[in-house]
Amino acid sequence: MNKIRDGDLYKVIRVFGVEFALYYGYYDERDREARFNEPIPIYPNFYDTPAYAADGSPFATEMQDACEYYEGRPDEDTCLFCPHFTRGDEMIGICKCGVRRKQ
Amino acid sequence: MLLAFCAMWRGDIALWNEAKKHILEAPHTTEEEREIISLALTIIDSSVYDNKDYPVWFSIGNFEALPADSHPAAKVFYVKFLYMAAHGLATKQFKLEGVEGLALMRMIPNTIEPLITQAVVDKTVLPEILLRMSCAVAYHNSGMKERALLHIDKAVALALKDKLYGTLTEYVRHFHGLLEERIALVDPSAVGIVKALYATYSVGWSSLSGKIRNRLIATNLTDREREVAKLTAFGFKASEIASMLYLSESTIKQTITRVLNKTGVSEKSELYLIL
Repeated sequence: MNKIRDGDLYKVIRVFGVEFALYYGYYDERDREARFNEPIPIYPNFYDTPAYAADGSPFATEMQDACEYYEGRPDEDTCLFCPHFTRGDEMIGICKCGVRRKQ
Repeated sequence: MLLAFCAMWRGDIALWNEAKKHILEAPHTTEEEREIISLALTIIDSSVYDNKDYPVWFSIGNFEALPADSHPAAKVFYVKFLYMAAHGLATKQFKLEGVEGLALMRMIPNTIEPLITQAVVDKTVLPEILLRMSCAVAYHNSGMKERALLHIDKAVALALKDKLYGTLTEYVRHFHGLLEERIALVDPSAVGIVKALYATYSVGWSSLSGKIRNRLIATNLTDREREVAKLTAFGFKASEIASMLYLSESTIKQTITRVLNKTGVSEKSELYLIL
């Protein structure tokens, strides 16, 4: 099996009508030096670069830090645990709370 | 105990029950032998049935090393029991007054080290290997990597010298790739053997635990995922795990989420169920 390299394509997915191409890489340079240093699929940062579904709902990843409108369990802090988060595919979904909907 | 180990490797519940029956009916003539049998049963029940009925000496926090002239098998079982208790405490499966989180995990090497010294003096190789590996796991989980490596390297040298690959196999899952790396330094050809043995053991153990406890042990996690899952089960936050593994917090959060998705566990507090 070929070793996965930084920059290799992981997957192209379609989530709620929008296409995302995911590539292997590193979130931080320190990840290259760690013992577990194999590249991982890198997901978009939807806070820095918002993206929206056709209905205006903002995209979010399951593991991104929850926003100030989070209403999930208090011992968690990522979108995965918020009731407004709707799962899509490959840990990308949309937020249906309406507050951050694109008008 | 040999029947029990065979049952674990094969995932054979009938053999497992037969092993327990043999242990229960084993004759003993001394108090020491009764203690060995009692510990053996406690280990089986704790690891498979999730039994919380620990001996009285554990409940009152008496973790002193066994007497130097205790049977080597008793020492090995005692240490395995201590580790399982420390793991149960770390993953909040039960509580012990005055001892929280990884506190017991950090303490048990103090109990194991004298037993290792005695095993070296007595020239009991098999107990020495098993005691060193158990000690290494405790050090590793406590963040004392250098001390863990000292014991791993010594145990690997002893085990490979006599081709005792099986003694190392059950510890593969505790070190997330590190044990294979250390084996490779001594004998690269042994890595494949130990990995193949572990693959067999892993399937059998997961199957047996699944049948008895109605929970599936995850066998599809990468080394990174397993290490991150273990530390999450110990109660560490993503930022703390990032610092411990020299990885970015984003990578840790993504890894935790992927583990939850892969295993179907809905809450991080339940991760210990699949490890």
